[in-house]
Amino acid sequence: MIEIQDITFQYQKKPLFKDLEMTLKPGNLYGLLGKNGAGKTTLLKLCCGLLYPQAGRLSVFGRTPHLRQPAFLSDLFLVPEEFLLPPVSGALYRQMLAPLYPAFSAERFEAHLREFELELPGRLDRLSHGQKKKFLLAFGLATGARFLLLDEPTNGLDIPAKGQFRKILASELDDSRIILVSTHQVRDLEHLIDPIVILDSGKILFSQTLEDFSAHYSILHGELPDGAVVLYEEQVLGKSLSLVESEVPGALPLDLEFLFKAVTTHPDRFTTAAPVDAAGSTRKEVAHA
Amino acid sequence: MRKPEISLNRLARLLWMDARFWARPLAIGGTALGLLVLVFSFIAAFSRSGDTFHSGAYAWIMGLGGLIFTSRAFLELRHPLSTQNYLLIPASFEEKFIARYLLTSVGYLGVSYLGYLLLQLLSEGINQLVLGRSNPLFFVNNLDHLQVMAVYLAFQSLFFAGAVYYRKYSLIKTWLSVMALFFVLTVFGYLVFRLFLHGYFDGMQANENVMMTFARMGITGDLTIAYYPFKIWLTWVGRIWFWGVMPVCALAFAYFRLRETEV
Repeated sequence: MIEIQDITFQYQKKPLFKDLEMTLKPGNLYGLLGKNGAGKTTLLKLCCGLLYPQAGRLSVFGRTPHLRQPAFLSDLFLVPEEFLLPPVSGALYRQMLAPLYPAFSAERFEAHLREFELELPGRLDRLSHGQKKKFLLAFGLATGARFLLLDEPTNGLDIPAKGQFRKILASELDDSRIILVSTHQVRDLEHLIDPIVILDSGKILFSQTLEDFSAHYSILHGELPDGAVVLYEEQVLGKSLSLVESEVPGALPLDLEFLFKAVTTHPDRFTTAAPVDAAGSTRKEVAHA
Repeated sequence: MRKPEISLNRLARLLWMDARFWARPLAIGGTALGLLVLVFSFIAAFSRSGDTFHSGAYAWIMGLGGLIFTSRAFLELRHPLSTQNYLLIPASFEEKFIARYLLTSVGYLGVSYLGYLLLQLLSEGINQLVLGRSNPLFFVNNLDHLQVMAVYLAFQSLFFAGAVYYRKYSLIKTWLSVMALFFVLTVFGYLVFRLFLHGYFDGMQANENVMMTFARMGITGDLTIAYYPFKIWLTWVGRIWFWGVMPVCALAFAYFRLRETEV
């Protein structure tokens, strides 16, 4: 379990997180959404100990990230949005690093590479960005680390590779793992990421499972039932697309982009009072406009 | 607080990873240096002026080469992307620190000496074949040689700290910092000397007050003998500073700086 309690963090004089709270439970693939500069990458870096919080407590499977203990680091893998691979062959990279991850599976690594239609490559630094990303994703997912952090994992992947990635990611999720995916490409990971956490200006605006969301909200296109409380609407094809409170029969399936726009446009209407808990359910207080 | 964690297995793996990573640049640099040594050794043998050629050449390779290598010990820290790769390698700070220190200190000394042994054998073999004469070979076979190596290791610790602290141009910046440090210490020493002991000196020369003070302390006769305990004391202070305080402080600084590194 990952517990973030009252975390405060700022860059130089620019405050980002103040008393941030969140709990992530194993067995979930969390989608971390937010605008540029919302603090998504910073949150990932705090979670893996690359940055130190100025105040508060952060615990990942009972360990403190910024101590960077070997047992913690071998149970975590970060696939950053931008990264460098060393000037060594794929085989040597595996030979050097795999033994440092006790749960590494060579079979899974090879299976992921096959799925990505990538052979164990020669010099890693000479690969294209997409190939490097496929290699790193395949390696990271094969480490067996219980905490996987993926920052914009589909950036740079070609269209078939995005599908392959979704398939691999779905196969890698089990009850012991927490996968935290930060992304702008919500369409690439729709139907896969759940719960959803929306971050803006260092604050969590929204954190719910999709099941919870569907039980309390509906998206409707066209006429609205009497008494519907509209939280957000926009015009699509001459009709209004609306997010309304309460479950309504015949509602459209959830559109993450639409949800994101709704939450970031009217954050006050989606205030979450409690972080996502074990099953991903959230106590929430909706302040109606 | 956390306890230091050191696993010999992980340490050996880190050493192997570092050695594997450095093998190519060191081989390229070593080959270039080797060619220079072959040429200059040939010239020295030809001009019959190479009595101390190999000891001098190895001193340069050990000293300057070692400091350049040490200054590049933490190349990863120059770029945030490679820094995050390095920091996330599943090993403790202590293991990462020790691996780099061993590689750049005794590791470099051992490899450079063995490499130079082979190189001088090759160069003098060529000289003997072509010119019918050769330069004397150099072996580390006495205490003076070992002491020179120890002096190098003491200085190297400063450049190791500089490699962690300075993200770019660490060799030059460390060198300038060392110079600045010595300058500050000299000025400090001079000020102490002038402020507290000025009554005992005319310029830099001891005056009669010194002799009178010694006389009051019951020390009379030859001033050289009178100064002797002070000289011994000063020498020990210098030794403790050079062999103990300076390297320990430099290494401690490097360790804590590495621990505090963020991306």
